[in-house]
Amino acid sequence: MQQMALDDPDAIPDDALLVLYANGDGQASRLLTARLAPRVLSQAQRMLGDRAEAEDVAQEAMLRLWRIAPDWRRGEAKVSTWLYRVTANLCTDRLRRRRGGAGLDDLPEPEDPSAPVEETLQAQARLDALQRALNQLPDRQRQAVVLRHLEGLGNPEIAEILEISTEAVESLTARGKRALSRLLAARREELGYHDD
Amino acid sequence: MLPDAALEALFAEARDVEAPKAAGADDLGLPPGLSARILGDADQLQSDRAAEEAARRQRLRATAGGSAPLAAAGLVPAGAGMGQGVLSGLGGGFWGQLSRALGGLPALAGLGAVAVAGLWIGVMPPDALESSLETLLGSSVSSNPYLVDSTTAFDFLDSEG
Repeated sequence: MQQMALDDPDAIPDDALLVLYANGDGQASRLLTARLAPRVLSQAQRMLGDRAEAEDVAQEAMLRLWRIAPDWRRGEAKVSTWLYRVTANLCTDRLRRRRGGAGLDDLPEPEDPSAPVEETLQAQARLDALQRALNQLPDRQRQAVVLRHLEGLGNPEIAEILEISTEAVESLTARGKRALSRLLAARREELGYHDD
Repeated sequence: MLPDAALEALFAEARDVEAPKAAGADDLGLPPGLSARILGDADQLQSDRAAEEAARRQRLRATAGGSAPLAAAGLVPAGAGMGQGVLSGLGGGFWGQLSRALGGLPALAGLGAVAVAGLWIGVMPPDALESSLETLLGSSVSSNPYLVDSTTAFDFLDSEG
């Protein structure tokens, strides 16, 4: 296999790396994996709330990236945006299958929701509470909230990922945040938020 | 309702807490097993594609350079490149390109048949054609084959010195 001859691989854009991979470069896949796979894994885990499933989704999303590499048209779309979209769709499929075979109550719970939470709640427990609340949002709201507030993407990019208008993204994130606020309000004491 | 600021703080906490989660990750920022799976897929696809490309090139070479020996060896399907490998096998690049430009062996066969038919009609025009020409040209056209000038340009040059 050929090897990259460029001095600074970090300076190579994602789409150029994809072309290098398609041309047989042995290092391109490693660089792309380091850049993109952690984000894919993070998005999938926040969408699914399950580490093992999120890893499967990350592998599948990256596999689709390797497959499309020879046909990738540079300049038409950002690789990361395309990958976020693939991941979103894979997660949606899994959530639908999950609903088909199991009820909402069977969603993976990081911990017993009825367990009392200490006043000095650990960061992990806060995240668990957030994840449980996210799990209860409708799919599209969850996608929008995860991409906007946890992955830190801008509304135009989220609109491209979800294939909707920017206004629709704003609406989804606003409704998602309101729903999260309601879901978490009951646990505000546990979360450490007190009325003044 | 949870105050908006509290929710934003929770989001920020979730974003920041990803780093400690990745503490057990490898140098790619992933669980080691996942890195191996992803890179394994990438290598496998790359190898498959390289093998396909090599096979495709071999087929192209076989087609361009005469496929009979490779067909006999079972490397190329019998009949592969028909109409394209024949002339290139005879004469090389120019004839091969001309053959392909004209449409291959079937097209050349048709072209040859038309040329022979045209020559024959010129030498021995059918009666119907002859009468049509007479009507058109207003003169008599002989069908006598002996009236065809059979002397060549060389004969003419020879007689003129």
